Amino acid sequence: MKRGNFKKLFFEFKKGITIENPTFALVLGLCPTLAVSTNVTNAIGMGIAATFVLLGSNIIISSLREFIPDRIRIPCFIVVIATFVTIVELLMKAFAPALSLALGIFVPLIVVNCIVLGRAEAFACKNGVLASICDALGMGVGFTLALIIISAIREIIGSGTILGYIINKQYEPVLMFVVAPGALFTLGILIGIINLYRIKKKKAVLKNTGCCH
Amino acid sequence: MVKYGLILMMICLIASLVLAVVFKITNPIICAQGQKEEVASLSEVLPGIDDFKKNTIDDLNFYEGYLKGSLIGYILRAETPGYSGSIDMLVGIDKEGKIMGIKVLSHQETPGLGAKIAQVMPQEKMPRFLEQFIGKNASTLMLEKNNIQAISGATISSKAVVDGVKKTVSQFLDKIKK
Repeated sequence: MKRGNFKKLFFEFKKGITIENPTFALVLGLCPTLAVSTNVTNAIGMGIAATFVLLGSNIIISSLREFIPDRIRIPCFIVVIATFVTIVELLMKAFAPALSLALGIFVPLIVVNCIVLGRAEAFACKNGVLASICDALGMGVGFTLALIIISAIREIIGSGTILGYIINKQYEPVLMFVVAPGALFTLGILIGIINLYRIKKKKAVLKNTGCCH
Repeated sequence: MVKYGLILMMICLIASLVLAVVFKITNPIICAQGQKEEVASLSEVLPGIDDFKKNTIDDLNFYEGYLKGSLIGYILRAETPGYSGSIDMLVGIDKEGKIMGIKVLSHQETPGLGAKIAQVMPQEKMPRFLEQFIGKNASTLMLEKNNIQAISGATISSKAVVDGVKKTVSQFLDKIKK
């Protein structure tokens, strides 16, 4: 592979983690993010499931991009995405039932996770398979990292545990952090801190380029 | 125009094929797991049984638990409205209505408060709230200091469990005695 090509592909991967992080920059897929990030174990499980779906859907949609007519692209994307999500759901129920129970309805809801449809529409249908793979992996890793950060904060403050292990028996958990308000506080403050850092460094403030969700 | 329909149809056809294959492979595993969970739960709420039989009386489903051929007790499913949503429980009783075991299968109570009815503390075997039920006769259950102590901050959830168990067991025993 040419040196220039590799750099380009690596950029497609890296952007999903930093400047185009789906949670902190693109602000996509907030519903499952807020609901699932109550503890780190669930967050990692959701991140892996979503990454798998992203990979599958990006690869298929990118390979079929010459074949799918523009006018019916959205229904085609949705069929592809729904198929992958169903596969993930069945595999999870069969081989990781505890995780499937913990994530509950949010596994099938990956179908409408804006990250997946958003990347299909914004990238996979306009770029080659290799680039789409890198994009999917980058977005998946970025999403998982965001989930881990948010859920670590919420789990430590809201349950006093990390990955299920109690940190300090004396600590009285702040329950608000494991329900909706805590999720919104954590996410808002995190985005605020990130933007503050970028303003200080005079870098471009993370722009919201995603669809509303 | 027809071309669009045909392309969509092809994509859906391939998707269905792939899903059918994955389903065929995973379905037996998922069903076997469901069975295993059900059997495990039954033994949890009525310890000591080596066989159980499903039965119905007046539209009420229940399990009979046997040890070496003789009837030890019953396992009932109790559904009761909680603070938010339905609380689904399994209760194991002996023939007189004494509670041998109790398990919350599903609930939507508030985390940290009502959810404590199903929360097992580390190093313990069952939720502290439910432990209070074991050994008591279902008809004598009451939400008070010397009987069943409510979870602090979750009176409604606690009362729902107590009332649900009491009602289900008494209704069942009435029907069985007839």
